[in-house]
Amino acid sequence: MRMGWGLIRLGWALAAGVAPGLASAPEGEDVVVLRNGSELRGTVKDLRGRFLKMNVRVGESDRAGKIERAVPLADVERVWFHERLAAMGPGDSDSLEGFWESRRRYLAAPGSEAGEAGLLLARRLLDAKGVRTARRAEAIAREVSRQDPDAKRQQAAQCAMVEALVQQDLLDDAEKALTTAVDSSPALNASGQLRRARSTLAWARVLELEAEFPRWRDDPEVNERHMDWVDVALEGAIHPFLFDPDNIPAAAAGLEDAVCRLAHLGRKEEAAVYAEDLARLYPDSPQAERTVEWRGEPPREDTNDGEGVREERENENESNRKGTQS
Amino acid sequence: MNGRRGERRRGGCLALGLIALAGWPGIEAKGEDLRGPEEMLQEAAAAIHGADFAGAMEHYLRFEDAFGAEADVAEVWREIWEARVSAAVLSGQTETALRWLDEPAIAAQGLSSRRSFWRGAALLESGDPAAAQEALADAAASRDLGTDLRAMVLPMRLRAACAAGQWDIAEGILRGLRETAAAGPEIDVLEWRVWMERGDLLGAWEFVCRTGWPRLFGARPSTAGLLLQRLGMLLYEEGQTREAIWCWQRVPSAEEASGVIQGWPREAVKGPRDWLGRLAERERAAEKEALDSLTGARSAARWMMAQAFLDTGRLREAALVIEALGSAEGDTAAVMEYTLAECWMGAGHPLRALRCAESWLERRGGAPAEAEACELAGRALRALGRTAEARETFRAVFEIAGASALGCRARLWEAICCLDLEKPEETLLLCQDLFEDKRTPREVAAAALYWKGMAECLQEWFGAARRTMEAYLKDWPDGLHAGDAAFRRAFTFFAEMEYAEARQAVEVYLANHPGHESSGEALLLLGDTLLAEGKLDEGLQCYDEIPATDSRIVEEGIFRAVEALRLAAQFEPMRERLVRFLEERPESARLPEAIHWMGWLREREGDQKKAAAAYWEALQRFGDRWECLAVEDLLVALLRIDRSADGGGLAVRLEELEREAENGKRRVLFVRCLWARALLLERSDPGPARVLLQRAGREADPALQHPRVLLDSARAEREAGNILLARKRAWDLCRWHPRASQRGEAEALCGDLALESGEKEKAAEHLRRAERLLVDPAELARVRLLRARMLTGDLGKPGSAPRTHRASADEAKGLLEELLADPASPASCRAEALLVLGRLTRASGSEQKALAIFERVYLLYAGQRSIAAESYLERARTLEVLGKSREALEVYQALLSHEELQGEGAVREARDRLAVLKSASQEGTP
Repeated sequence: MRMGWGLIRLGWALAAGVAPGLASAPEGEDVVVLRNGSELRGTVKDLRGRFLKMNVRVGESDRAGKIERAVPLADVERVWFHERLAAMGPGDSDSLEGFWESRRRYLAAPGSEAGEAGLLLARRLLDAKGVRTARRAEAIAREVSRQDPDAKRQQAAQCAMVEALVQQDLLDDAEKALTTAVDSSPALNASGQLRRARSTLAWARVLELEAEFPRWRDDPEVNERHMDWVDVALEGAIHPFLFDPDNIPAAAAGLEDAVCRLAHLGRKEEAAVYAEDLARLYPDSPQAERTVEWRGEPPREDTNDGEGVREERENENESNRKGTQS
Repeated sequence: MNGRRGERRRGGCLALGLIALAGWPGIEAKGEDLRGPEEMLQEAAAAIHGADFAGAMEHYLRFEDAFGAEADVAEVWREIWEARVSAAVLSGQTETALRWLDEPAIAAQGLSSRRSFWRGAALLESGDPAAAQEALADAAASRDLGTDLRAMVLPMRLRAACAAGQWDIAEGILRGLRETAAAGPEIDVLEWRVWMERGDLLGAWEFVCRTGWPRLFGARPSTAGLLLQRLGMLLYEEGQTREAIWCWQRVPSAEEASGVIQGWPREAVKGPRDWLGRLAERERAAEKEALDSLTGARSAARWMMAQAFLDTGRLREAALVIEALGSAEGDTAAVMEYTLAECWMGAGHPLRALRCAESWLERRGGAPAEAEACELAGRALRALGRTAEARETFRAVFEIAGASALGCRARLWEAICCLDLEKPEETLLLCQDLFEDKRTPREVAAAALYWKGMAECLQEWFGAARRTMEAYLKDWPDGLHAGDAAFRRAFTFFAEMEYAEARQAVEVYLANHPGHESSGEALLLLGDTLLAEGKLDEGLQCYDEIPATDSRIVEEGIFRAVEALRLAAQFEPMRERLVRFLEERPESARLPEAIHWMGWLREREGDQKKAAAAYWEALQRFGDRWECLAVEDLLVALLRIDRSADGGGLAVRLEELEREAENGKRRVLFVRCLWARALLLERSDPGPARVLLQRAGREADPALQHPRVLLDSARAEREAGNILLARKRAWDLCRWHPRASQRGEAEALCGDLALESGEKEKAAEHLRRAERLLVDPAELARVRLLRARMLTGDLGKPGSAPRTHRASADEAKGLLEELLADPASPASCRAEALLVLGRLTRASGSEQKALAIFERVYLLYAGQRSIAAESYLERARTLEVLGKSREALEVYQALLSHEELQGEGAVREARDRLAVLKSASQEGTP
């Protein structure tokens, strides 16, 4: 099977982008281009094994029939699936699920768009920010990272996996996944996705540290570690805003993360600056609306009095509960 | 020739008419040297058809030259005016176009709007946009322009207006354009420019946001890039920093712009009359040419972005942007790296700042700004607490920069570092030099004088310090350190017991520096001075006047007043103050001190019961308040009184209180009672005491309960064999009370428990922290010894030999040496430490040194029997290793000769070895 894929990989890689010659393919039909130049139209049924199985259309228009054919993969130049990911609406989660489920069998075929669908679905699941959805996202990302031959998608899947593990509170596993991702591709270090994953992980570490050491401010050693994590979390959060500003969802989400994180730390003046950034530069984003309360917030001293301790206790109980749930 | 030409002329008139009617049909020209008029025009038409306007013009001009004056072609020549004018314009021969447009025959033909259009086009082409704008406006105003040209006239007018700087007109045209049809992205770029030129910068920025930068960039990459850069600059000048940054963030690189241009489809001009298409093509060509202007634009924009972040105090962002700028060359790189280091320093990241400064120095050692980078490294080192290194660095700066402003500042930093390093004598000398050097900048000289005074104060040279401070105040009465200098001056009087002067000096200080940070301390000083002068009431009043802003100073004032009243035997006012203190400050850390004095007052009256009653009352009042950390001390005091009074009633009362607290859900008090009862039973009945402590631990909320209770309950759990619970209690203490004095003991306990569970790494971590935090010398010595043993793998098994890496061995050696250097370390630990040190020394190959160490152990610590015996054995073993069997034999015999050591395990081995050695020596004897 591997040899078969190897032979036709280049063809598929070409087909993954555009297939100008096949633009006239009837709607609802997959097109298989053979090495001898001929085309088969119909529905691809199976791509696994050494043969491509498909129901092939025979005849013209209303008198057309279908027969099942098995073509050796070695004879296949490229495949053009009729159902395209780009045709789906941005909020069409059900269709995306369906697309992924039907196409994941062909994940190893570059033209299948299964990897892209998987990544999109994983991202949506991660945005839901729940343990169950994160678990599903992790499974999908793992599948994509293992089977998709495209290096970029593999990397994106690895980053998504890190985020999914963080959302499940499996921080050590997330750390390992992150290390594996970077080791496998050092260039990944500079990618926005990895920064985001690293930032998410760092913030999870901050919260973990705070739960572990509720009086972290009083312990210089813990405080130092806390500061280090906070730096990574903040710098990762503002990175899209600084260097990928036209990626509005990422930039606005990062700024919101920065606002929330700084607010959590009681650094309200800094939070107000980022909230103002959101309001001025991304006024139509939902994040700008959500952070409206932090704009121009006067700084308030963070006291560690009795009330503070009670709050700390409550926070700890909350995080313990979360931990138990997860 | 003429005849031939005449034939052609006659035959050609019909053809010319056809051409004129058909416009530009596809006529195939056959190139001949001698052509008739119809052939010439056919060829011109073909050239136009093939968009070869220059070629067409050649034919037209030749035609005009040959037949222009002849009447029979005049009609045709007039008919094709638009074709030849457009060819002239499109080939850039605008003068000819304008000349043709002025031909009377054409003027007489009418169609003024079309002529105006082409005049406008010709004028625009010839570089007279204002006149072009007028002509095009005339064309646009007419109804008979025709749909083909009407579609083009507004965009052309807009271009002409923009080129002529007629922004109001351009705005009007834009309105018209938006109303009539959807404008292309090229028009958007023009509109953006109009916004900018009209000075509405925010409007321009909003327009870019609304339109979408990618659309503008895709249409005119070079122009849009440069416009964006300019807009950023203008916005920044207007104080719109965020918007300016937004623009700079998006300024493209020349490569990106080039990529867009290369990606443009090769769009052919739709026809010869597609003037707009021609124009667009030309504009695109101009975009290519302008690419060079974008070279370095992105870096420049990023740099400006960093500057903008810097100016608005957003140092983290500035640093990240500079870091992302990547590599630069020459001076720019040097400035960039230095600024980066400054940013990190300002953003509170001295370590990153240090790395940048070091990298700068490594790459540019000897460069002109070396001293600046060095000084920055010094500041970073000082911020990291590496004061000694910082001092050396500042010294290096002075060596490089000499007596320049920077050099002097570095010298001052060096002096301050010396003060941090508790070397005031060196501070003094450095500051003296600085102050006396005339090249020292004035502000540095002022600071040097002040720090010299401080160094003199620390040296307790109060007279000299006062004179220095007075000199400072004389020259810099409003200087940066004026308030501190005035306060120090007053203090020096007090320190020399010149109370009247001290009082006067404090009053001067308070009058001249109201609200200064040392005001509270000054009032304390004034109170002390007045008391020293015997003015009790005034002194007490002074303490009462301390502003409530600093509770530490206020409390200090209260206790000084209490002490003064005690010394003056005014016990009732003393009691009143203490009662007030208890009322107002139940959460104070000095509560036990107050209660102690309350008890003392009762005990002074000879009534221990009353003292106990006072404690009991306080216990009932504050017992459930977790923030009153002194309640535990109160309980200890009650236990003491109870024991000394041979009472026993306390246990019953505590039990009652415990029950009440449990029923009333006063959890903190309940746990405290459990703990106190455990302490009470500790000696007489340890089993139930442990159970009570275990229960206290279970019931306690680690966030609220006193760390002592947690520690005792952790120990109780350990005794009961509940290792996990013991670890949890001790760890809760560490988590919730990181600054508690018991933290070190808790960490040590965690370390011990982790070691028992086989978690060596965790144990090492806990013990390392314990060593840092422990106060009790015996426990500290134990922990050091344990750490050393862990590092060497020598965990106390008899005869175990250390196996370790060199780094661990060095660390272990350091720990053992620290232990031995501490006179408070108990003898048992010292003996054991010396034994381990001996083994380590032997393992490192220094057997002779090890022999001396082992000997020292049994000579110095004979009382530590097992260790002494072990050290005999180790010495003998070492001698054996060295092949000195006879000496080894003697040492074994010496060990066996000590009767008090006979019970030790080492003796058995010594006996065995002795037997072996003896038999060996007998066999070897001839």
